[in-house]
Amino acid sequence: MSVYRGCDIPGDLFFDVDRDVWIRPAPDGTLTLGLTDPAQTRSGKVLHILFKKPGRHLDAGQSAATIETAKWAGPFPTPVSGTIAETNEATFRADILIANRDPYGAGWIVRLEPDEWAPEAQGLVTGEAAVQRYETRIDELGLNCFRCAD
Amino acid sequence: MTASPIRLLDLAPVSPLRSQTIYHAVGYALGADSPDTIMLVSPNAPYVSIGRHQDAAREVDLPYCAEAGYPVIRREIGGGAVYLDGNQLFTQWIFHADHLPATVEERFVVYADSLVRTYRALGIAAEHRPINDIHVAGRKIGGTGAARMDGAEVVVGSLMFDFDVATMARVLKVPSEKFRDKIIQSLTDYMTTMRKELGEPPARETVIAAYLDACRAVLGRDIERGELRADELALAEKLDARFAGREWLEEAGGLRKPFVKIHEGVRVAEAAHKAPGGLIRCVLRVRDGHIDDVAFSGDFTARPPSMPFDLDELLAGSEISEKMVSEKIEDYYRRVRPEIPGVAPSDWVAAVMRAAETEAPA
Repeated sequence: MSVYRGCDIPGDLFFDVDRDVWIRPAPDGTLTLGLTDPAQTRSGKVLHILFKKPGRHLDAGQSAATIETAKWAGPFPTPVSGTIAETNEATFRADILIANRDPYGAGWIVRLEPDEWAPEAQGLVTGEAAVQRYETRIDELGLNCFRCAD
Repeated sequence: MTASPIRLLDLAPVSPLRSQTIYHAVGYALGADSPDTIMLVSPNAPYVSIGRHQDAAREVDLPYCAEAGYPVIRREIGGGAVYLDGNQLFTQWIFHADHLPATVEERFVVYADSLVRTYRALGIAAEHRPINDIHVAGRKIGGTGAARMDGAEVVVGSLMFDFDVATMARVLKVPSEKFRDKIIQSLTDYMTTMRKELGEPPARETVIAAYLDACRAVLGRDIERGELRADELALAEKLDARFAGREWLEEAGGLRKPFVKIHEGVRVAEAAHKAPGGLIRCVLRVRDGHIDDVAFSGDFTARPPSMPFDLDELLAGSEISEKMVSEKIEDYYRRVRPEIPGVAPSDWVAAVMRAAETEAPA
């Protein structure tokens, strides 16, 4: 885990830096997707989330869920195309701030069966490269992260 | 950030539907070469706008709106249901995401500053109350909201020439008429408009000139009048069909707000508590963590009959804590010794605290 200006960037995940989405591949080939720490900082406390249904196929860039925070609403875009295998609706139903509290753990958004998994070709970065991209991005944005649920 | 000029779209009044779809269209049509846009528009007829995740049937009195001829239109911006008409000038910013500050809160600082400067230029002592309210001496003057639409970050708000408080309260679906009265009273007490502040609102052109000066100052960029592009208009027409459809209006919402937010620090909520002696209803107005106003009703039998009103007066101004409320009510029971079978002090406290719990996450 790398922390830069308060923003956690775990080196073991893949990132779409422009869309502010993280991806964790599982041994069964599915991908778990979630909001990054910078993303939850930028959008603020989640107030509501509406998930697309499991079984729905999404192209890269399409929204897997719409998120409404106290002051903002927007999509949660998937960086890779695939079919929604599972959503984290039950966890959000119990704790709507879970993505603010634990963006890389219990606050994941959807699990996807990807059409293909070729992270480099899909513009994703990981490890030191991801940390460096985020450090540049965080500086550009003048961002300091904090867990909005605190 | 960028130094390129901002396009101004100062539109003639448009239909209620188009007043919503047009800024969504400009947002979704924003390409790499598109300019940032400030759009000014008013609806040519009244309507009700509901938040992105609201359940229309639970929040709005749909039969009344249909009878009165008010369309109900879901927007992609969050927040609550609001009655809108030609007395508001919508001020919509549709910008490339990296041309605005990174966080939503910082974006509102810039956006609110443009509205505050406008009102001040018109002689109204407006202030930004973070996160996204504009206040004049503790009264809110207009609301703001934000959303992401593909590559665009959109921030919307309005300049309030006037506001129809009674119709706003009428279009909402409320649990009781008492609650509706409280909404009207609260909107009257805690909202203001240019008409209220100045007697007569200034001419639209005067307000627009002040607003554009303010935008130039806060954004440090030129603003040039422009026109809608054909692709933006075409997309607006497509969105007209979607936004007017039942599927979009009835999309599963589920975000139930059992309160009405008047402004950032003031909410009206209602809750019921079943005591052994009857149902206690509590309509509560909360202001900055204190009971601003409270009204009890129910099917209990009380002697003295003035008891619910006595408690209303007793609790006004009290801090919202179980301990404080409990102490005041127990003291009343000790002093007055009311006859109210099956209703203990703890039942009143439970009704108040349940209503108070309907606070939204800030």
